[in-house]
Amino acid sequence: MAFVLLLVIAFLAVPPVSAKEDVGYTICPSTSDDPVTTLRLSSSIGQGETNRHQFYIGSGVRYLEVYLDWGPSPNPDSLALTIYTPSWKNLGTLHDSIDGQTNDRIHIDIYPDSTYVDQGTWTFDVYGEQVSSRRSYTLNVYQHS
Amino acid sequence: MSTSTLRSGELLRLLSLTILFSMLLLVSVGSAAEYTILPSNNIGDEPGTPAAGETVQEIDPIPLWLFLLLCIFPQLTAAPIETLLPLKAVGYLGYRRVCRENALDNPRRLEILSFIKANPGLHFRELLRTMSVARGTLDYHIRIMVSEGLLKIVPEKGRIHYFIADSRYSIEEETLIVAMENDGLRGIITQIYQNQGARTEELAEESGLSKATIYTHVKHLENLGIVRSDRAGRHVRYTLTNNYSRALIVYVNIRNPESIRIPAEHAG
Repeated sequence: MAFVLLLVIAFLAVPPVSAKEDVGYTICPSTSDDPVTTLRLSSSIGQGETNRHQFYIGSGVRYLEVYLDWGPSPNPDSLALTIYTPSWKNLGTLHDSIDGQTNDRIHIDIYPDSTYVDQGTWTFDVYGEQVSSRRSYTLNVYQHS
Repeated sequence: MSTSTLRSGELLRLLSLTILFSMLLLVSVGSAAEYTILPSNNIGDEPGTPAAGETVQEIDPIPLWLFLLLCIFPQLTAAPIETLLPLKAVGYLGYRRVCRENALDNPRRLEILSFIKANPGLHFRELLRTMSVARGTLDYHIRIMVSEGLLKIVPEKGRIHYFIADSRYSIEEETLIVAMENDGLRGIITQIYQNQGARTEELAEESGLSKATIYTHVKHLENLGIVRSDRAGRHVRYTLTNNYSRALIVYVNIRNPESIRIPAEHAG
């Protein structure tokens, strides 16, 4: 009874969440309407699919390092990575060349304009942008304190 | 106590819980931070390498309970996880309580118990290293199995070692299994077994450890009852006690460590 009541209140209190908040970012194809959330660091993905990975970042973290690796690939497969802050601010969709190299991996650092990055659950959507068959990949997130 | 008093008490608790829960849902999702994305400092290096001596920690994906919670309340992504921990309990409302009879209905828990049965005496970090299971998950299942009497714990040198509750091992065997988990103690036990009556100097020379370290280890083994010391003139000689000599044979049969060479007639 109590649980049902709490659940009803919770549903009523949930605001609609959208990646299209007014934060000046371009919405790219990687934001699938129906991402598959995975609780693993490594996974596989097909053409047009989106896998969602979520990581909890604690307090006192100066910057994040993100490493998405889907190589080596015999085919010219391409994955894209969309990053959301804990407040669901879309930091943009990143492609292979974001780190200055086209090498089947995305390796970036995320720096806040304040001292520390936001504490909370960060969301990383991996999108199968150009995948000939299922492509396996690993996603690693490091917090630098 | 009247029924109406009970009901008003229940209603009050429900109201308090509801208010607390509603307050939690009002967690601010505002964020002042803007972010800059740059090619990583570690390009060409191993990911996760400290750039300037800072602490680096690889992050695990969120646990299942938090994932389920975020599916229902996505705005809680901005909440510090510490404030969400009490909600973990809410998830269990309406579910049956874990007790000894149903504790092993959970396949992961059964898997952990079976692993400990096959590898008695491992401590938490070793279990974590050898089993592909998240730290929180392992901790949760072990706590349940200890509280339900399915596992027993043997503390030793600041570590907790685990055995199944109805372990077939004697107390001596368990003590030895735990001692053999320590590299230093294992080396000395092995040396003394192969050289009954060894002196501190001999143990130090063979192991490459200082005499002070050997002395500390041997005293600890003496306190555990594994080693006996006998003074012979100016020297003290160490031997394994009879109970532990037998226990060592059992240990070798279950672990067969490469570092110990037991004569074939003893190895069973």
